[in-house]
Amino acid sequence: MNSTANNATAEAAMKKPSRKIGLPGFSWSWLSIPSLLIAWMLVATQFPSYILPQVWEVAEEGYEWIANGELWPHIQASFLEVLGGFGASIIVAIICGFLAGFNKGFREYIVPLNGLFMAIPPIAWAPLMLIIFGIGYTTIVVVIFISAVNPMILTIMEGVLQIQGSEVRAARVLGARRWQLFVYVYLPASLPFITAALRIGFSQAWRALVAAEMIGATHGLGWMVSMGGEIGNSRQVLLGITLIGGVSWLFERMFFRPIEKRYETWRIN
Amino acid sequence: MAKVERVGGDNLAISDLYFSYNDELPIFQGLNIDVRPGEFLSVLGPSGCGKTTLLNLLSGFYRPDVGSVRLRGEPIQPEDPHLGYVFQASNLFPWLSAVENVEFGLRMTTRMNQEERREKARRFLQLVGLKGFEDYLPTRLSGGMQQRVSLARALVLEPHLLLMDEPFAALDAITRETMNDELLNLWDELGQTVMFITHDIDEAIYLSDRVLVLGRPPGGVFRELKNELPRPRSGPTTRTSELFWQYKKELITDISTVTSQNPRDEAEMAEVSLISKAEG
Ligand SMILES: Nc1ncnc2c1ncn2[C@@H]1O[C@H](COP(=O)(O)OP(=O)(O)O)[C@@H](O)[C@H]1O
Ligand SMILES: [Mg+2]
Repeated sequence: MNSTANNATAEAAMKKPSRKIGLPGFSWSWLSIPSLLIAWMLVATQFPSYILPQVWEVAEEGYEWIANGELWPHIQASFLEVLGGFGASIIVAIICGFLAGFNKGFREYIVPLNGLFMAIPPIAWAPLMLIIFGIGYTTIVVVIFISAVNPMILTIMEGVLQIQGSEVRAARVLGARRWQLFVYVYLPASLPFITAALRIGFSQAWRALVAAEMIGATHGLGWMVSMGGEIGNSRQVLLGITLIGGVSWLFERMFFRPIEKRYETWRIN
Repeated sequence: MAKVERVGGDNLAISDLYFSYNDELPIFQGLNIDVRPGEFLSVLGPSGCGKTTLLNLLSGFYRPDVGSVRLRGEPIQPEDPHLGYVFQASNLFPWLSAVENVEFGLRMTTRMNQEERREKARRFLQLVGLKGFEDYLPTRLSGGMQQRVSLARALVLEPHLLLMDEPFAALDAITRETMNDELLNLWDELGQTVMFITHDIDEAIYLSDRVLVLGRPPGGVFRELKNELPRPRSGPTTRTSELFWQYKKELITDISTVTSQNPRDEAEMAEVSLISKAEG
């Protein structure tokens, strides 16, 4: 038995250290956005400004929107709609996802529905919701909800099923019972897949928002793009697109990345 | 070497057990196995023959359709404090460090305070050769070390019956042989009943008092080999002995017979025999 400690040490030595210390090195990702901007500028030289404006012209347009105070209400409108639709789908997805994970009957019932709804692009719901709810907040919130909730339910359900097969089984043979299982296993074990579900749900919600606003709204970033197209203002269109990408990127960076980083160390290799 | 007390083993009885997954092909039909207290039993069989299913039945995760599984004369539940289970994948809690993983069962089932638990968990980690790795998260440990933690996590509760489902199958041959020796040392010291599932013939012989070969479902026990290899066993001596080779030859023949059985035919035959029983 004396040899065992040495064996373990040797095994550990063979594993690469998981974290390196030092200055962050060069990353090719630093080039992705600048190269896109350069390509845009080069292509834009070949077109008149009213068809494809230059980067700085779009920036100028953005400055004008900010200066006359029109931009903020649109961002705010989009933000509130996402908050409503995505917020509701988080609550429903956590409840239904866990129920489907625990109860075989409910799972068998809901999985085909999720599949069906996921096969329908969010934009297809917009006209119907417009007829029911009219132009405005409710229509868009409902479209967001329908698009985001389904993939989130599936992700959470699969997560619950997976931990039932591994961590929960392990905990039960170690003597954990009902509330202990909930506190010491379900809660910590579900954080990674709930985060994954939030991320998937947010990207769905954001797409649905923009799509729905293009059809059934009088405000918002999606409306900015479609209205710009209708009046032939390509600067406004590009400004809208840039903001749509930018806001989503900010969310990713500020919320989802940092949370996911925390769970990265957990993943069993 | 950390000091531990001998826990001893319980008698395990599987009688007339029938089991099938939702009316499909039956996995077991009238299975009978008796395991003596403190016995080390290896169960050998090709993949898909129902080894994991058997452990699920023994640990009470599944209920038999007919028949019973009894530990010391009583039905088993997964939460039974006398039951230890080492899974094929280590199933460690990835959010807990090695020592916290080992502590988990004590936290669930005893009134020990944090310090006593920590102390005992450390002792068992040391026992499996992981002194110095207490604070490592499972991801930072190699496969062999993860299985060691998993073993310590099961042993710390001092189970009287230890179920092991191909615990070393994912390890390389050298690490596996080391783990085999460590397991034997621990078993020698603690003395619990062990049901060790494997598809590796050498491992089955090297460890056990008895080897059962399972047939294709619903084959049940195809053969029983009483293992007379002397103890204590050690790699070079035991593995090269005449008797070891003889057992190995016999088991290789058995396994190839079992593997070449066509499960369909067996199922049909079983059905035919059931029907004729019903009619007769
Ligand atoms: N949850 C399940 N539902 C239906 N069939 C299963 C399930 N688990 C295992 N089986 C089937 O039962 C048989 C035995 O499986 P298993 O006990 O996992 O075998 P082993 O562990 O020996 O490889 C296999 O044919 C497998 O397909
Ligand atoms: Mg198996």
